[in-house]
Amino acid sequence: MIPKSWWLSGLAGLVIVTAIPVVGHLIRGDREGRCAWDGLKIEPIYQVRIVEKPGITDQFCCLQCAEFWLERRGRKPIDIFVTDESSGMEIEASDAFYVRSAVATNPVTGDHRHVFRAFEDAKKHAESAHGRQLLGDERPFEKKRLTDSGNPQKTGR
Amino acid sequence: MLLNGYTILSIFLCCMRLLLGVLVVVVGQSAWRLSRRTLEAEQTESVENRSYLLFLSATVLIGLNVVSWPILYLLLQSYVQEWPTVMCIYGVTQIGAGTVGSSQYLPALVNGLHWTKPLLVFVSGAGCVLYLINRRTQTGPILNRVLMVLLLTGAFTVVDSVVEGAYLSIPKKEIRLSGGCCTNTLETVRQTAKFTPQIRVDEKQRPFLITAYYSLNLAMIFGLLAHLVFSPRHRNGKWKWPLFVGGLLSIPVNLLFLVEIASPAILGLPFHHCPYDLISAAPESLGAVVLFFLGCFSVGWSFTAGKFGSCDQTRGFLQQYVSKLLFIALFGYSSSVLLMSIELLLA
Repeated sequence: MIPKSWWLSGLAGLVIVTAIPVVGHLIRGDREGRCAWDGLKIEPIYQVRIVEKPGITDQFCCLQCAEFWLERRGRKPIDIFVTDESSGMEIEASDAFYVRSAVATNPVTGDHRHVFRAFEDAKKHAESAHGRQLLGDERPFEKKRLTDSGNPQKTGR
Repeated sequence: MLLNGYTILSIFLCCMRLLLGVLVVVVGQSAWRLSRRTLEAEQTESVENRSYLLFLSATVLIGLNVVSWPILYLLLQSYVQEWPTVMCIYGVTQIGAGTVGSSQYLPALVNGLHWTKPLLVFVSGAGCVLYLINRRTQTGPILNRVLMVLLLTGAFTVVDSVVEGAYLSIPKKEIRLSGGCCTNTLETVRQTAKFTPQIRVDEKQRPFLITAYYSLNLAMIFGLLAHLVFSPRHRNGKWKWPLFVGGLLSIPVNLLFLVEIASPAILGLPFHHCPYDLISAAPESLGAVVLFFLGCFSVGWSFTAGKFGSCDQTRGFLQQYVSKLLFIALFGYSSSVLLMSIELLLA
């Protein structure tokens, strides 16, 4: 009932269909420099890096994506690194100062938190951008105890 | 109204489809009423003359309906850059949610279009198939049925173009009841959360979904193959109903698989269940979606042809038409599964 030419054309079509994803992958290459949570391009000064296991690292575009990731994973990572916005250097998350301000880190996720290595930089940003330092439980990634001494606080270690 | 090239194109298509849809409904219903009566020679000629205008209009309308489906997604993709908080089409579909004013209807309108577009293409295709069958006969014995399906096509087109016109014309400006600088940051965080698609299938359910996807699609492929090889010899249509039911079931299973399994794997984002991102990140994978709809709709069209195209004058060639449609369905299903499987292997 179906002509032989149709069967041959169908087979040829299947061969072409097989080639399409291979060609697509070759053209696209790897999507490096993208957030592991939502695929957004990572700005280097806002990058967060989570080391899940030795040799397995995930990178994120902001603190919020990294927190969502940890919540979904349900596993404690080996280490978390954040990026100092002033110098662009990577630092341990527990060593950083965090400021929530009116300036958005990531407009898509709505994250307004900023990371600084030095307390002076954090204070300067908080004063200029209508922000305040995050203390105690507010600090990302840590189980915290509240303090009220007014000094720069790093808790959880 | 957000104005860009795709908006203007969509408005133009919308107006054309609305006009043609109304024309098809008006001319079609009068031709249908005339054709149901026993007619004299002059009245028969009148029916035939109206039918030419109707079929010409319907042909153009069917073409515009098919084209309007991908244009909708190109339009939505063009809107992504208009909002800094939106990263893909899913975010665009959520614009207006939780707001007051006319923008609150935007999500419902665009979500409605997600369903009316494929339905419209299916009904249009069914009309086309029946029209082609009717043309091969001597006296057009199934003209009534052709006219009925074209009337349905016209009516659906009018509804679809009105919905699309409403979506295009409503200003995409979100007006909220709450405001103020103190709540702004928290409100922004809450609002940005709505632009992330929800996850519907958890880790335990994933193996079942994968099994269901491959089982159902492979069953359809083998069922179609068996029908093409065995049914012509035995001249029975006992495969029709299982294929039709299988085709209907395959729609939700395939769509759920695309959202919950395929999209995260192909994008390399295990917690990001958004098939719209495939448009920019892996456009070739959408070929699997197109081929699936081709397969699924072809099953439906063959069922329509077999059910509504059957009469004495079509008995000689109807089986051939049905077989060709089922062959197209076989190609659609098998190439869709093949393409999707290769994408998942490469991911």
